[in-house]
Amino acid sequence: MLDRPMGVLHLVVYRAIMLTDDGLLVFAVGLVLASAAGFSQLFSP
Amino acid sequence: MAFAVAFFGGAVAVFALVGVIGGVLVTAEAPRQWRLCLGATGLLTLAMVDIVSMRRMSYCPLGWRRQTPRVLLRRHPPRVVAAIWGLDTGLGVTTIRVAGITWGALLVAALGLSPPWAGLGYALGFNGPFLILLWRHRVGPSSRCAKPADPGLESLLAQRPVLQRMSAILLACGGCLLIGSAIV
Repeated sequence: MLDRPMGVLHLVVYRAIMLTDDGLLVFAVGLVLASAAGFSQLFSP
Repeated sequence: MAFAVAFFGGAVAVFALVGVIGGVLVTAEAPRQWRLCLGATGLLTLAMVDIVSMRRMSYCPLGWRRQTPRVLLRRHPPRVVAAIWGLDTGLGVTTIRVAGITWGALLVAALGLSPPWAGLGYALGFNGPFLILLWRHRVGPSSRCAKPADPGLESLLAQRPVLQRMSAILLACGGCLLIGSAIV
């Protein structure tokens, strides 16, 4: 039987796989990278 | 404000353009699995470039090592210069990069793996904190100083290694997620 943290971990992995199936996870990767890239330019000389 | 608006326009335009060019050259021909693997390889390579830059204590070696020329200030009104500066910075490929993450975001856009409006994320990632910094400078303690106060530019520039570490981590995580998506 799974304890609570492992249950949450399984849920997170399951949701990530579902998102991957929809292609949303890859979209999210692109958006996070773009946002972080914009933020990083605040520190340009 | 002219800077922020021009930055927004440049960022949205360049990501949309890269998405369209990538769509014609890559997305239409290559299968999704292949694009995911190519994207993952690119992101992991860029993560290594960031680690090397961090160790050499330098900025990202990829791309033009230029900044919008200051001489424009003598030739044009301040608002026009702010707009040119914002557009130049927002375009993302015409000025010096702090870290490789911009190239990673553009690579993912070119491969059709991010939405064509990812430039909105790029613009908000810059403009959000930028406008907050401006607002804080106007209403914060520095606004009550009799003498011109240090806007904190030096301390901001000193954060370069932290930014490069963050970029390397995000690129590596993004690469791993793309590999995972290619496998699933």
